[in-house]
Amino acid sequence: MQDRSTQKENSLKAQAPAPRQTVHITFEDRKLEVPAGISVAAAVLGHAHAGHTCTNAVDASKRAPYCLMGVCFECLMEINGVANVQSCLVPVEDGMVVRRQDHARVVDE
Amino acid sequence: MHNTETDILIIGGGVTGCALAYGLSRKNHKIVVLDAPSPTNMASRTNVGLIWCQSKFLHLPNYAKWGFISSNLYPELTRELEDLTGEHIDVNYTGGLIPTLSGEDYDNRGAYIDKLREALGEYPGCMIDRTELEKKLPGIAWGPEVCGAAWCEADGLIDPLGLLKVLRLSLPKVDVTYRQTLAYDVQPQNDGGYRVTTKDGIYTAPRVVLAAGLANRRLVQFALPTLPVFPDKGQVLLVERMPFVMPIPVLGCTQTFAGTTIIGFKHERAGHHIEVDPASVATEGTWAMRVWPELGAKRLIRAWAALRVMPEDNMAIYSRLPGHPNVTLFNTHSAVTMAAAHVRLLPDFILGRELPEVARGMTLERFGIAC
Amino acid sequence: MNKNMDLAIIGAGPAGLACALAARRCGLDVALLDEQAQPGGQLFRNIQSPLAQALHDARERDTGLDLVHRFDECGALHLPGSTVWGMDNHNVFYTRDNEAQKITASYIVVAPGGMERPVPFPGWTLPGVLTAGGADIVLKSSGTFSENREPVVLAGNGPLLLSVANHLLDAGIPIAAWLDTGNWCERLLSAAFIPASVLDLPYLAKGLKLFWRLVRASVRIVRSVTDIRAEGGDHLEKVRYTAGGTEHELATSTLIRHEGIIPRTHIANSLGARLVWDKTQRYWHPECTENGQSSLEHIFFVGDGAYVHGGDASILKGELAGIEVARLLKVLGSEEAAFRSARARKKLRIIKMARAFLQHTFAPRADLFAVPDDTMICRCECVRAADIRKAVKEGFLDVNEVKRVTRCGMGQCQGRMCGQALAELVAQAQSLSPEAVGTLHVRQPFRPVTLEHYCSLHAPK
Repeated sequence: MQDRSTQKENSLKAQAPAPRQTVHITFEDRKLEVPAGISVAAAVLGHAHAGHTCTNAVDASKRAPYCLMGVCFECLMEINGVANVQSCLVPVEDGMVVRRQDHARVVDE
Repeated sequence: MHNTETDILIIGGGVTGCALAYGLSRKNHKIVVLDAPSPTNMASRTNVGLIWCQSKFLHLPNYAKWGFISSNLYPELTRELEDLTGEHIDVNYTGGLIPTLSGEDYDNRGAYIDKLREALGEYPGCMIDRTELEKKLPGIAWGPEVCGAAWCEADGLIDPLGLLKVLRLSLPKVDVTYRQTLAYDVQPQNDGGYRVTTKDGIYTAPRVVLAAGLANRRLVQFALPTLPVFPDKGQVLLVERMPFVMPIPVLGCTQTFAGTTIIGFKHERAGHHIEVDPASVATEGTWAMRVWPELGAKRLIRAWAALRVMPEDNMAIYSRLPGHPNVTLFNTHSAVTMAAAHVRLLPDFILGRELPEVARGMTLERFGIAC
Repeated sequence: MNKNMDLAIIGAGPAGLACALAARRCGLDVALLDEQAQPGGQLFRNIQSPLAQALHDARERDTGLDLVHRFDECGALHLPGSTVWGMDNHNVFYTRDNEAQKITASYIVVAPGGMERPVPFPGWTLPGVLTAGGADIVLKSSGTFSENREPVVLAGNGPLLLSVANHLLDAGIPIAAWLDTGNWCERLLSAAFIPASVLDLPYLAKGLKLFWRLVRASVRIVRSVTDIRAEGGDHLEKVRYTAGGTEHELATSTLIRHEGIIPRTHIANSLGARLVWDKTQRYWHPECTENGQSSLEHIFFVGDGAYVHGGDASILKGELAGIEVARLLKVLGSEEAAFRSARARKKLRIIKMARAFLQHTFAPRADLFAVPDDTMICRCECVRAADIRKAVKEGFLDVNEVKRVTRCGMGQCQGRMCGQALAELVAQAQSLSPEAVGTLHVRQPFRPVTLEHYCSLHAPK
C-alpha cells in the first residue's frame, strides 16, 4: 500500500503513471506476471487468455467469466486448493496457484 | 363470472389432490381440480421426496401398514404415469437408511424396529452395522461416530417436483380439468349439491373433495368449526451439487437426483411462521456434518422453511364431513409416501363406499366428530 | 465477534461510501461491509491504483478519489473482503477471513449497486462472450482479450457500452463493429431530450464527447440489429446477426454484449421488501422513500440498487439515507436533518429530471427477449427457452411454478442471471406483462456460504 496522501497528490497531478507493482501466479502450471490488485478472473482472462475457466456441472460445456462482478458464477476456479471460488472476487496474491474448475458430470441423464 | 357445473370438484392441486383426481378419472365422472396459484402454502412444492415407511408409527400400526401398502403400489404407478405422459420421473426404489451416531442410538432404534415388527407381523428391515452400511453406500466417507444404521427395503426417493409435474400432465390426458384459481369458500345448496366461490367464478358439483392442505381449515367452515390439523414447520438447508453417491436415500441428509443435498428433519409448532430460524436449522446441519463430514466444506446454496399439513395425532385424515356425506376431506403430512395408495385405494371412498379396512380408523371419528 | 452499531452499510460503492460519510458526520457508529478488497464499488473500482485511474475522466476520478479518501479518514469500521450472505431487520451475516461473523445494527443500508441486464441469446455461454462491465474490468486490469489484440464486436445498447468502446480505443484494441439493438444513436441525435438534460451539462457533454470519438475513429455502427447469435466450438468464433432484412456474419473471438443496467434486487427480494415494476426500463426495484427507506422499517436501499440513476445520484442517495438514519435514531432533530440534507435533496431532484431522457434514449426494446427456442436461459442449470415455453403450454403459468418444473433459476446464481428472462418469457407466452407473472422467490443465503460456516455461527455451542 502506498501512502494515501502521496497517492492523492499523484492523482490530482496529471496522470503520472506510478511504477506498477506486479505479482506472480500460476495458472494451470503456467507462470504469469500480472498487475497487483486485479482479480484472479481478470488475470486469467485478460493476461493468460485462458479460454475457459470452468466446465458446467450439468452439461459439461466450457464456460468463462461473464460478468466479472460476482453475479454469474461462471468464473469458479480452484484457488490454492480451494474448489469453487468465485475468482472475480479474489485479488491476485504472489504465489497463488489457480486451476480451472472441472465439474465432473454428476447428473444422470 | 362464469358458472361451471361438474360431477366432482377437487379443491387442491398438490400431490394429494392430483393423485385423487387421477385415481378417480377411471370412474367415468366429470372432474375439475382447482389449484391455488402461488404463493400460498404449498407443501407439495417444498418436499424432500422420500417414500418413507420405516421406523415410525409404532403407536399407529395401521398407519404404518398403510405406508408399506403405498410403497408396494408405487413402481407400477410411476411406470403408468411415465407411459401416459412420456415424461421421465427420477425415482429410486432402493430402500432407505437412518444412520446412528452412538451405541445407545443404535440400540434404541433396534428395539423400536423389533417392536414394530411385532406389531405389524412382518417388517422388511433391520439394523445394520457400519461395515454393512459402507457396503451399501461405498461413495460416502462416513463420520467417525457413525456406528451403523436402520435399514428398510420398502423406502425410496422420488423427485417430488417431478412427481407433481407428471401428475399434473396426466390430468388432461385422462380428461380431468385443471384450473389455477383460489377457492374462497364452499357452501351447501338446497339441491344437496355444493357451490364453490373462487377468484374467477362459481363452481357447482354434487360431490366435493377437500385436498387443499392447510387451507382445508378454512374450507370446512360450513360443516366444522375446528379441523384438528395444524401447520408443522420444517426447515431445510440445501447444499451444492456433488457427484451422485447416494443411490439409497439417507434420512436427514438426503442427496437429490440433481446432486444437491437436503438437510433437515425437525418438526416445530410455530403457527404459520415460515421464516427460517438459522439457529434451529443449524443444529441439523451440525448433525449432518457428523454423519457425512464432507458436507462441511460444501457451499450452502439456499435455506427454506415450509409447513407440513399435520393432523393432531400425526396420522392422516380421510373422512366425510359431519352431515355432508358427499364431501370428503383428505389431510396428510405424507402426501408423497401415500400417493400411490391415494391413487389406487381411495377413489371408491370419495364415491360413497367404505375406506379400505386398514384405513378405517382414519376418519374424523377418532377426534369425537361424528361423520 | 458480535458488534452493535447504529448503522451497518452493505456495499462500498458511491452510495455506500457517501452514506457512511454522512452518518459519521452526524456522529453515528457505522460499519461498512464490502465484498471487494478496496472501497469504490464497480464505478470506482480500484480507484487508488493508477491503472484504474487512467480509465476515468478527470472529474470522475477526482470524485472517486475524494470519496474514498474521505471515507478512509471518517472513522467508520471498514470490513472489506466480506461476503454478506444473510440478513434480517437488525443483523448482517457474513464471511470474512474464512470465518462466519455477525454484525448487529439499529438500521441497515443496502447499497448493492446495479448489474447489467442479463439478456440471453444463442451462444451467450461461449467463452469469449462477456458483458460490457466485465470487459471494462479486464481493460482496467490492463488486460487484453486475445494475444494479438484481435478486433472485438460490440452489441447492444446503453451508455456503458459507449464508455467501453472508448476504453477499447484507448487500449488500442480494434472494434470490428457495433451492433446497435436499441436505435440509441438516432435518439441521442434527436433534440427531444435536450431541455431536461441541460440540467446536467457535464454528463451530457461527456456522453456526446464519447460518441464523437467513435465517429472520428470510424467505428462501424450497424443499426437495428436483431437475432444476434454467438457461434463456435469451445470458444467464440463468429457472430451472426440480422440487419436490414438480411443475415450477416463477423469472425471474432470477443463479443461484448450490453443491454443497460438494472438494480441488484436480490437482497430486497429475499427480505420481502416491496418491489415495483418500471415499465420503461423493464426492471423491478425496491419501493423506497426519497431517503431510501424501504417497505421494511429498518432497511434502506440506496444507489443504483434502489433505481438506476448513475454514480452522481448514488452519492446523493447515500448521503440522504445516512442523515435520515441519524434522524430516526433521534441523534438529529427533524429541522437539523432537513437543513443538512437540503443541498443533496435539491441536487438529486435535478439529476433525476435530467436522467429521465436517458431512460427513453436507452430504453430496452420490448422484443429483446423474443429469443429462439434453442437459447440457453438458465446458464447454471442449462434450461433453454423451449423448456420454458413448453412448461407454460403445459399449464405452469407462474414464474415460480415454471422454475420448479424446469429448474430454471435453481442454480448457484439463484436466478440472478435468468430471473428477468424467465419472467419475460413466461409473460410473453401468455401475452402478459412481466409485472403480472411476478419474480422468483429468492432465499437466503444470498451468497453461498459453507455449511460449516453457516452452522458455526448459528448452532448453539
